[in-house]
Amino acid sequence: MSVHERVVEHVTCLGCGCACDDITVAVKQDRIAEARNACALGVAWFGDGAVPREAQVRGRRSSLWRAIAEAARILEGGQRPLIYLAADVSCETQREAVAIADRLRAALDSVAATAAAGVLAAQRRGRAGATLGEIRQRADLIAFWGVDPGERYPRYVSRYAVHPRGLAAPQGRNSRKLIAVDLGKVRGPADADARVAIAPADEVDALLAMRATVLGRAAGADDRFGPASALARLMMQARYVVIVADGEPGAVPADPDRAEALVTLAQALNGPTRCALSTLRGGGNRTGAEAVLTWQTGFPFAVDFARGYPVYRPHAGAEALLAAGEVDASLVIGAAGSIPPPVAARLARVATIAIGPRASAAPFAPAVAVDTGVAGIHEAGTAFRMDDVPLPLRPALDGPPAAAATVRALRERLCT
Amino acid sequence: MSQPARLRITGGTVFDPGNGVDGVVRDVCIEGDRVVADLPADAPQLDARGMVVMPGGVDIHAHVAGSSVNHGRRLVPEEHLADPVPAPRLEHAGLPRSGTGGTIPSTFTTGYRYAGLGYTTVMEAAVAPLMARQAHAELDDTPIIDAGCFVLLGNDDYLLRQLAAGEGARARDYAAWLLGAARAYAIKIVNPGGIARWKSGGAERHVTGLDDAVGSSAVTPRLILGTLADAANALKLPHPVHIHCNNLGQAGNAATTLESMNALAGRRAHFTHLQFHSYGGERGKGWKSAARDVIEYVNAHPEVSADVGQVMFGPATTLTADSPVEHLLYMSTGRKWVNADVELETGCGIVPYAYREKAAVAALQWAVGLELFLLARDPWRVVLSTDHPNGGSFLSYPRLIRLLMDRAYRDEQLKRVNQKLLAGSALLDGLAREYTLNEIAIITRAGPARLLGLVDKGHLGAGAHADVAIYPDDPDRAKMFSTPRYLIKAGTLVVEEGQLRRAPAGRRLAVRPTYDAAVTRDLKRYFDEYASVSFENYPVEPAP
Amino acid sequence: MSDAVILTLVTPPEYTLLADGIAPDRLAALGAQAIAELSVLHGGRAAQLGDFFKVEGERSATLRIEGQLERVEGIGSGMVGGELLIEGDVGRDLGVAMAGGRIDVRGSAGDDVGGARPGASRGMTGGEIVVRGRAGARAGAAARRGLVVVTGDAGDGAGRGMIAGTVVVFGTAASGAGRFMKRGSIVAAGAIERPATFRYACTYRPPHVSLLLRYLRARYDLAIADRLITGRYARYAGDMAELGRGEILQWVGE
Repeated sequence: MSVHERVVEHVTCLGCGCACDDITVAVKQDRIAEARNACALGVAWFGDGAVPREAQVRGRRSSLWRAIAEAARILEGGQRPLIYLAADVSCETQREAVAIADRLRAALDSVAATAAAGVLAAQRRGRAGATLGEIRQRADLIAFWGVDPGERYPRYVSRYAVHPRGLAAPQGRNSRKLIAVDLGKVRGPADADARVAIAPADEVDALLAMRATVLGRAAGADDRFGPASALARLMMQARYVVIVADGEPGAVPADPDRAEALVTLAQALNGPTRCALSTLRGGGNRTGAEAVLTWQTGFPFAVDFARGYPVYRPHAGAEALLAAGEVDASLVIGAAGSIPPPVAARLARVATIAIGPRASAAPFAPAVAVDTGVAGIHEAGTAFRMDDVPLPLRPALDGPPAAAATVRALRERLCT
Repeated sequence: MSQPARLRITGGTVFDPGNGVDGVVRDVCIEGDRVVADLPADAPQLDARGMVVMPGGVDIHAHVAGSSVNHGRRLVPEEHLADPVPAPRLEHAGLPRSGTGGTIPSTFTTGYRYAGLGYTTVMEAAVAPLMARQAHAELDDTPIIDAGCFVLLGNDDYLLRQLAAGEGARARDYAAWLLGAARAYAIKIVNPGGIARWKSGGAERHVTGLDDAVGSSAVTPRLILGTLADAANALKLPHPVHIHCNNLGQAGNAATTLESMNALAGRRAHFTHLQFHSYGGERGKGWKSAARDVIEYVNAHPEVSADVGQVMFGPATTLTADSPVEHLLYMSTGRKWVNADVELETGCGIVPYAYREKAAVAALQWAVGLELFLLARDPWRVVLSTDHPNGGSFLSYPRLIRLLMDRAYRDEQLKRVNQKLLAGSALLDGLAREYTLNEIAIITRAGPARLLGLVDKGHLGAGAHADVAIYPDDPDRAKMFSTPRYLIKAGTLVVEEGQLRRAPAGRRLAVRPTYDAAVTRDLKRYFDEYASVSFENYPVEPAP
Repeated sequence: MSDAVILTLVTPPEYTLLADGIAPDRLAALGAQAIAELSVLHGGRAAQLGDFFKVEGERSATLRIEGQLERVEGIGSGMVGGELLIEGDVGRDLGVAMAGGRIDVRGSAGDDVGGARPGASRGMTGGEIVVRGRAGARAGAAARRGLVVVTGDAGDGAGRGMIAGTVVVFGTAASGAGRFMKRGSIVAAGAIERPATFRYACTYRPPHVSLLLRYLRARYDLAIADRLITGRYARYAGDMAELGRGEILQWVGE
């Protein structure tokens, strides 16, 4: 088969945190003609695989070598550099990026910081979790806590949690009871078997009332929480409960205590029954950034190397440091389009180097831009699913310079 | 590459038990990454006069890399904030990396700190095959040490199916395939059947006996142990099946441990962190030591080997695939708790913990471990571990060595600990034994290497890997073993004058046994039916 | 040896000044020069304490810091003893994970005063902090022992996740106060948003509160009205989602 026409199977899609690895990508004339099995999000993520292939210095086309030299010059000139990991890069690239932050005594943060509240809650209290496949095997009661995965995680229901048959769910969907918890306008799936309505302002209190019920303590006479407590009692009757919640920010900002209330409820349910909290996370290998930062530094995000070793400063992540005007040089690695607007807007005001997919099209005119391929489309490596399962990436296309190799070249330049 | 580096280590007192060398003053010669019989007179020399020369340390059982370890790392940011580690000053050879310590250090710090104890080989003792890719990525970021992974088997649905169907041969082929797929070195069994039962929910959450039914009535912990022990031996794996028994940490569990050993009578098997499995008494009715009974069995059965899993006073993080046990610990301590069920395979449970001298159970655990060491007759078969970070950090090995070598130090500490549960402990009767340097060299190097089947490690004979630790002969053995003057790893001088100077990448230790390819066709069908990842994406690297 | 070491802010920091190494017990053995050379981080750039503060006195476990300190973070974190007097408003993380000694702020304090390090399950383990003004979010969070007093209003989550110890708020305590609390006491002289998982127990005149308030009046010269000292308090037990052995004591009248 010619290099212009080929079919690549078992491709991992990073369009969302589901990281479905059953995609078959058909290539014609070096363009992606089809991404079989992919959902709408996935199809959009793969697109036709066309990406810009430029290296630019101050908007002008440049050689890759010169762009890297200029990037090194800017970073070494900075007194307070910031390294920011955006989406769509492999763990191999992320590992190189952390090395650069270490070498430069820089501040280091990532797009995974959008889920900070959940990470901090998990550090204070722990986790009651399971991989997506285990949910598929075991769950007989699934409560969707103010989320319909269909919107941002389209195949979560069809591929993992609900529809497929599993060891303890021989009839798939029909072996499971689905409960939608509606928080005002934020509603669970329409096809749930039952619904529980909770006023958004009461959400955390309701979760704590449920935990109190599970622990066998009357929470108090407040009948606002009757339905929630009834749901808790229903959960206690199940064999394996899964609570599904969205770890990524929604339209309405969540109460900072919500994540801890969810974790502690799931933990408590592991007395009378088994329970896992399934926290939905976005795509582009952001959970990989969390894992890599944790193993290399001991902290999952918002790491500061200013003292010559990693320090954890969740209140002083990329957005806060940029807002305070501390940062005078920044290196963004990954898809510029994935950077939260508040961060992206402020990157425009400092000397920024962008290395990653479509860097040359970044909204914040970077001083240096190097287009790379997209991890999983043009570049091999490792990426993590939302449940911390590592998966291989199978590129279907040749692309511009690989992000991993480009960042490694910059690191080597900085270390000589 | 010019001619390989040569080095003659002169005048040191050499302890090389693998070659019967017990404290003899002699030279050790290195060429490239190997030990050689001799070198020309003009070869560079390293003066080791007055120092103790041993093979590099070999840790047969620790938790240093992979999904569950990283869950643990993420869980204890306060420990990392309290133990910052600036980058070492290295001479070239790569970028020195900063990190953080605590009971679960960052990866680079883990490699540096093992080298800082004179260790050059470490076995990561619990890797879920689904997560193996992460374990290897973390080990790629763990410098200096050579490392191998033990792959978790014995609670995985596919294996239990084969056992239920009486497909022993297929179970063996599957184990062989899985070792290759996970790029692993040995088979690890954790609480056989117990994790599967915990994950399945329902009223009964724990496997408590060797004949409990696991799902199918045909499947029992006894059958799981026997099948996998036979598989490991039939596949001629360098290390036999590595067993974490049922009922870890429960009063009275010594009976289960002895029954497990009996179940495998005559078959090679390694029983890990034996201390956690050597308790007498009765569940809910109090504890006592049963170390004597357990170690007497080990002493009498040459086919059995063990590492101790000593408890050391101070902070620890309990971290294991034995998730039902961690749930019990969570319920009793109310501390942070991670549970992470791994689909179709295994589990993961984590609870940060601290062993206090004044706590009765911690004191008993400490005493039981020391009893096992001091009553063991064959140091080649009962080797040193703390089940890092479960019984304490690997950084406590030097203190443990002093406890074994220095009776006065040991008795003085024994006086301080809670005596409530120590009645009947051999330690109270006053165990006079003091380990010799040669015996320490056996339980920290030669023994683990031999039990792991690492023929090129743990000794200093010609052809051995040039992994050499050189310690000052300090009468304070804790100080001595925590400050090697020199460490040579694969011929590279890693520690020089007590300072870390170089941090070369370590090697990966793995096996790839052969199997009947029919099993892969059956596995492909099984994955299509049940798994959440593609069969083709499951192996760490594609089969050759 | 002086009666006190006095640090006066002479060069206001342009960025956050991370001064988590500055605590009375750590200065007790140092001369003026060594104190001025203590390392701080100014907007992530290495700097010395003397770049911003005039240093008077030396070798004393009593430390007074004066000036507009809103941008100074982490003063007294992990301190185990000594006296720390702060004249002016001070930034976040004051006395985080403190183990002993006293902190007296004549001004307001930022987030996490007397609180826990990020991700830690345990905060302050001993000592006393008095804030004569407002406090930010999570004052006294996850305290294991010790006392945090706020004369003004306290932000969200005061006394959140306490394991033991006492938090006193004379102003209003915002939402989430006492959530996830295992043991310990929150004394509220003003309005407090109680989590639903606190259960009314009784209304009484708690002797320990009156003792505590008398102590505060004597030790810190706080103007505490008699009606608070001798008054009636409604006792709410919680957090019922945790151990349920904590309490919110809300003043309800004379």
